[in-house]
Amino acid sequence: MAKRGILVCEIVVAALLGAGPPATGQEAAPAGAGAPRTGPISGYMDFHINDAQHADPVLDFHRFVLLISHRFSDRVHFVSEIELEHAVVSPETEGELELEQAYVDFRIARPFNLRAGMVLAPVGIINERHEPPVFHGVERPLVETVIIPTTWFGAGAGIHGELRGGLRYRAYAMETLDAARFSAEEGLREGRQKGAESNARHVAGTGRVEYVGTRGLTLGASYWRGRTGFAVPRVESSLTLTELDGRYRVGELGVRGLYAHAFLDGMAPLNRAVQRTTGVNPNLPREMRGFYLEGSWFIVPRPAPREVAVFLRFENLDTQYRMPPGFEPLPAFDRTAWVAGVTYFPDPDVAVKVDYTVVRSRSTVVDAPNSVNVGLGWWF
Amino acid sequence: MRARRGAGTRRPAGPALALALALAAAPTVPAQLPGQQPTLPGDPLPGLAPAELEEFMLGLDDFLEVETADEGLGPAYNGTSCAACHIVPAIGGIAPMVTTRAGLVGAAGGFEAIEPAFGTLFQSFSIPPHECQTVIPPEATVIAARIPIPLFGAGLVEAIPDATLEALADPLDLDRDGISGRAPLVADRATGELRVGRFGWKSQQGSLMDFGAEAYRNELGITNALFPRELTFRLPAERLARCDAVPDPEDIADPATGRRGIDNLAAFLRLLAPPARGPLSPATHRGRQVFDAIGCTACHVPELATGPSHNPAFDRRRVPLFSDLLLHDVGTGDGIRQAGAEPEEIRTPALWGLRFRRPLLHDGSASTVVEAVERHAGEAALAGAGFDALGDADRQALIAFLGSL
Repeated sequence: MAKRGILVCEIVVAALLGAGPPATGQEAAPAGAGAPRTGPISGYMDFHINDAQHADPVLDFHRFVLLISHRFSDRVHFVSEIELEHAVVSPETEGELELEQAYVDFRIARPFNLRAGMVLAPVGIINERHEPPVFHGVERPLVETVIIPTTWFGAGAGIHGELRGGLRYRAYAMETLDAARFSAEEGLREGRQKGAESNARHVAGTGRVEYVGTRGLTLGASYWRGRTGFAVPRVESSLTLTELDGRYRVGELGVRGLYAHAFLDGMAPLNRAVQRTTGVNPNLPREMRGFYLEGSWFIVPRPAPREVAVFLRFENLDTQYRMPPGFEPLPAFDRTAWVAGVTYFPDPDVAVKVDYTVVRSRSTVVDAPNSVNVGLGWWF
Repeated sequence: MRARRGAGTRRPAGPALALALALAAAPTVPAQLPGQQPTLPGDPLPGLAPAELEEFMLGLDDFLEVETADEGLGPAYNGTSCAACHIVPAIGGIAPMVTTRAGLVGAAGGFEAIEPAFGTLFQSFSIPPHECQTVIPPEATVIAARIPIPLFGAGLVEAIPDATLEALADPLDLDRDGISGRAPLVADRATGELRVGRFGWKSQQGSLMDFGAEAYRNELGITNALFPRELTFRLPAERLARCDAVPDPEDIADPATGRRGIDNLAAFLRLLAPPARGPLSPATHRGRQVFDAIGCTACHVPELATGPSHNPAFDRRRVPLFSDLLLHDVGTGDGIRQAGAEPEEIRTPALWGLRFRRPLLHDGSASTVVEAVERHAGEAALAGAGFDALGDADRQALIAFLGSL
């Protein structure tokens, strides 16, 4: 009974938090991208060459994504996104085939609509809009990979809409994360259940509010909270993730920034329980945090096509920012990254990217490799 | 175990006094910081510097890594990872695995290796197609089994000065107490120096770098800078070439860290915390008194101490391991001569963490503490007799005490 009460509360809290833009393929494309896609089939692809220090270069068809949508009627729409990562799915490869979105939108009124199915967590800048032409750099920002586990998707339902004054919101109740799979190296990333027979003992609440009322400016705030302890018996844990972000484009200059802070409860008993069962203490923290700032300049004047932008991004993230009593942080997980590069748009929907990434940590033992990355991405 | 020394047969007071003073001044390990959780088996030593914690984690990764043939595993091996033999009750512990050694009794009546260049270890497994499987030849007349030794607290053991062990040794039994512990000197390949051996059932290594590097080659078949050649027994070179495609040494430095696998393993072993003591009770206190009274502490010395160190984790720390780390003949020898150890000698096993260990004795032939104690003879004959003479209450108290270690 108590659990049901908590669940209802989480749904209500999530509902009160706000809603947001429709998912991939429906939001107005940001600078450098083309017109919104309207056909029943769309998609994006992402091909990389990564040449990191201390390792052989890697050619990787990182993502091949198809989005299939259907209008049952003017008020009922279906959107789906199927992603093949790393080209081949087999026991010998890293490939994955994922259903990242598959939801039905019930459009009631501009300020209030319903959505249910496999949804994207409305957190951060990249998670809901992760096609290659909408962000600079071959790889997604570290903060939005590790602390915000992009692409973060799961089964859920909620509301979304657009209010007066340029405000829009999304609020969902969705599947929670599995804290037993968090790690200092990959943050919250491996905790995603991905809608694959997800444990539903606990339900998370999440929401995002965005302001888009000033031309070129987007401000956002996101929240996610859920109980995350179900994989390890008798260990309760929870996660609260808060996030603020902003993007501004004026003339040929663009800036964007994001700050994310995760508060994890119950990590000390979880660390001990995992150590007892696996032999390895995951050394999970009670807080993680990270931010990035990015500036870009379109050096070839608009209008498109054939824009060229240079950019510089600074990231700092610490996945062991605060530790539970009795646990010590490792300097290797207090990381900074500088990413400098060029994005060339031969067509507004195609991006050729080159960047140089320097990652450093406070460790005196482990050297984080620098890398040269080349990417070719497109969407249609 | 060995008999308690009589009042008239004490050793020279100098080293013993120095040891006593060192013990009085030394903090007991594991130290526990305010608010810190009790140390669990498999934890790092408390109070390590951040860089040391990272070295520990790197070593833990290597310790757990399951090796494959293209990474250097084999051609013959006993396990595919270090953890295969050191996993109970936590990583660094033991496992119900047995390694096999063999040799023969020579014409002079003493033990001889079948091929001195090969040694005595015959690995149990080999990589497919098993062309390089080692097989004990028919001329072997001595075959011995050994079980793994838990590695908890190994860094503290390494940090005990040679002089401490040499002070405890009495190879000629000059005090005539019937106990003649020996502190063998072994060549340390890492430094080229001689050290008192203290690792392995035969005290065959004096440093953790040596211990880890030899195990990497002997147990996993991964050659390294200290042991650069495969351990092969009567194996033609062309057949070895077919079995072993990875150039030696197979353990090379990781460019991201500049560290080799043997560096990481040595760091992990060095920084692995000793087992914390189990719950105490009036029975365990009484048992400790019985342990002293019947003379067990003559070999199972309750506490030694590390020497001075610039590292606070190792600086003059008490080491409550319940061992003198010396070689003794207590009637359980395995018949193998190795390094400085005679066939009948076995290094006194540390008793810390005994509650996690089964089976017991070097070959795992004792399933209970009582059975292990009753197998003690030779230098431990008097202690064994003392155990046999115990009343039921004292015997139960002693067992309770041993169960608290």
